[in-house]
Amino acid sequence: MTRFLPRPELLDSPRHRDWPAVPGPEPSVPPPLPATADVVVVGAGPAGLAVAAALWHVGVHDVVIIDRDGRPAGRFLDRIDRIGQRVLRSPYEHHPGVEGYRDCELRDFARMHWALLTAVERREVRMSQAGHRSVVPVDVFEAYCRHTAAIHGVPARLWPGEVRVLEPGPERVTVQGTGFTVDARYVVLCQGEERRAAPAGWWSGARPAAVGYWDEPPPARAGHEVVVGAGLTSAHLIHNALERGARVSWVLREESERYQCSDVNASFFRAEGRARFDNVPWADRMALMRRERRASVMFEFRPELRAAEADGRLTVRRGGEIAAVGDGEVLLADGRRVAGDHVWLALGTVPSIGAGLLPDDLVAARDGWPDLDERTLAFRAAPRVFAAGAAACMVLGPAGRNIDGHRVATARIATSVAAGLRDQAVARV
Amino acid sequence: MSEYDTVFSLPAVDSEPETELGVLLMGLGPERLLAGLGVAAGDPVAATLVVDQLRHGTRPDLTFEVALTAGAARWRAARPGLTAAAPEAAYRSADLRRQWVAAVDVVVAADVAAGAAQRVYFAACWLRRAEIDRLVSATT
Repeated sequence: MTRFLPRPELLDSPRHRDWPAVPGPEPSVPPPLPATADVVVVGAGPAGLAVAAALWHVGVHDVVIIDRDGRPAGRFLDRIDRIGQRVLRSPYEHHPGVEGYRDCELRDFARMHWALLTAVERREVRMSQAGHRSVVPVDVFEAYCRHTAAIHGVPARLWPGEVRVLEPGPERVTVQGTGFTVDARYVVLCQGEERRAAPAGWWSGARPAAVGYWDEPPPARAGHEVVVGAGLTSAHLIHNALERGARVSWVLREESERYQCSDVNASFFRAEGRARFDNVPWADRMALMRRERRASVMFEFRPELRAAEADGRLTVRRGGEIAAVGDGEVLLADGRRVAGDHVWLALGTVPSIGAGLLPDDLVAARDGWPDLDERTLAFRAAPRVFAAGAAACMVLGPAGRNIDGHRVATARIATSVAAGLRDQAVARV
Repeated sequence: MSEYDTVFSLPAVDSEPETELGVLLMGLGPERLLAGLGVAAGDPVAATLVVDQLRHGTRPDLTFEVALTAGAARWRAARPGLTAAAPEAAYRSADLRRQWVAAVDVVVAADVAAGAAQRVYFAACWLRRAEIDRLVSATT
C-alpha cells in the first residue's frame, strides 16, 4: 500500500516567479469587437479557455471571447492570489488543453520548465508520472494557460466587456453588453461561479462592521479572526491569519473538518463516475450532489491546523450551526458566541447558470441548476446557447466544476457547434 | 504488501533541465523535431513552444513549413559532421536519460550547434536520424 504523507511543504510553491514570456511577436492592438461571429464565448476562465481551444481544433475559428477583465483565467488567478493559494488542488492530468490533438499537456509543460521548478515541485511531477496524485504550482498553471491561449489564437479574439443580455432567436443569438452588440450563431456560457452570500437571516440591514467575505481585503489589524466555512478557502484564511500572528476561531457547521486530496471523489473524473448522473432521476442526482459536493480542505493543511489547535492559536467550533452574525462575532444556534476582531465568511460558491442573461423560462432553473440537454450541454429551451463549467454539474456530476470537467463539457459543446456550423467538422491538427 | 513513502523512490528529480526536455522531445514526431531545429535559437524551451504555435498556425510571422525547410537545411549541413563524430559502436542503454546524454555528446563533438537550442534539437534529431533523414529527403 502506498502511504501518502500530508506534507505541508507542497503548499509552499513560489508564486510570481520570473517565468519567461510566451515567445513570439508582441500581440497587436485588437481590432474593434466584431458585429457578428460564429460563436461568442462568455468568460475566459479555465472553462472559456477550454472551449476556445476545443473550438479551434474542430475548425471553428470565427470566435469572439468576451471576458470581464479581458485576461485568460484572469479572475480565476486573482481569486487564487487573493487568498494566497500557491498550488492547485487539481492534479497535473487536469488542464484546459484539448485531448486527442497531441497538444502539449500541463505536465509536459512543467517538465519543459524543469529549471524553474523547486525540488518539491519536481517530485510532484514525478508523482504524477508515476500515476499518483500531484499538486500543480499556480505559476505553472498560469504560464500553461498563457501558452494554451497563444496556440489557439485567444489573445487576438479576446475582448474585455460584460455581457448583459442574450436574446436567442431561431437562427442567431444577439449578445448585448456594455457598449457592444454581437450577433452570433452560437453562444457558450463559461461564467464560472460567484461567492455564496450569507443567508438573509444572519443579520438585518447592512452587513455588520468587522465582517467580510473571503475575497475582500484583510483587516488592517486583527488579533483574533473568526473564519466561517469548511473548505479550502477557509484553510487559506486560517493559514494567513496565523501567519499574521492572529489567533483564529474556526466555525464549522459539520461535526468535524474534512481533509481530502481532491474536492470530489476521483471516480467522478472518469466515465464511470459521470455515468452515475446519466439518465438518473433528478432526486437521485440531487442527493449525489449533496453528498459528493461537500466542502473539504487539502490534506496538506492538516499538520499546521492540528498543531495550531493543539497550542491554542486555533480554536475549532465544530457543529456550529450559525444563528446570527454581528459586529466581529458569530452567534451559534446552541447559544455559544464566538467573538473576534474580524469575521471572515467563506461559504462556498454558487454556479452562474445564465440567469439574468437569458429569460428565466429559457434557463428553466430547477434547484439552482439550468435545464441542459445531456448530449450537447445546450439549454433545452435555447438550443443555440450552451453552458460549460459549474453550470453543467447536474449533467456531468460534481467534477463538472473542475478543470477536467471543463474538458468533458467542451468536447460535447465543440462537436455540437461544429456540426451545427458545417456538415463536417475538420480537425486541423 | 509493503507500506512505503513514495518520496524515497522518485527517479531523476535532479535531472539537468536540458536532459528533462530532451527525454520529452524523444517522444515527439520527426516533423516537430525538424521544425524545432529550424527555429532553434537561444532557449530550447522557447523553440519547443514556438513549434507548438506553428503547428496551430497562430504565428503571423512564421509557418510550420518554413520552419521545416530551415530545419532540413540545418540537418543537411550538419549530417556529415554528426556521422563523423559518432562513436563506431552504437551506444546501448535502456535508460533514456543516458541515451540522451550520449546523443548530446555526439552533437558537441561534431561542433555543429550554435547555442543550447540547436544542441538540444540536433541531439533529438540524431536519436531519430533514420526518420529525420527520410523526412529531410522529402523536404524541399
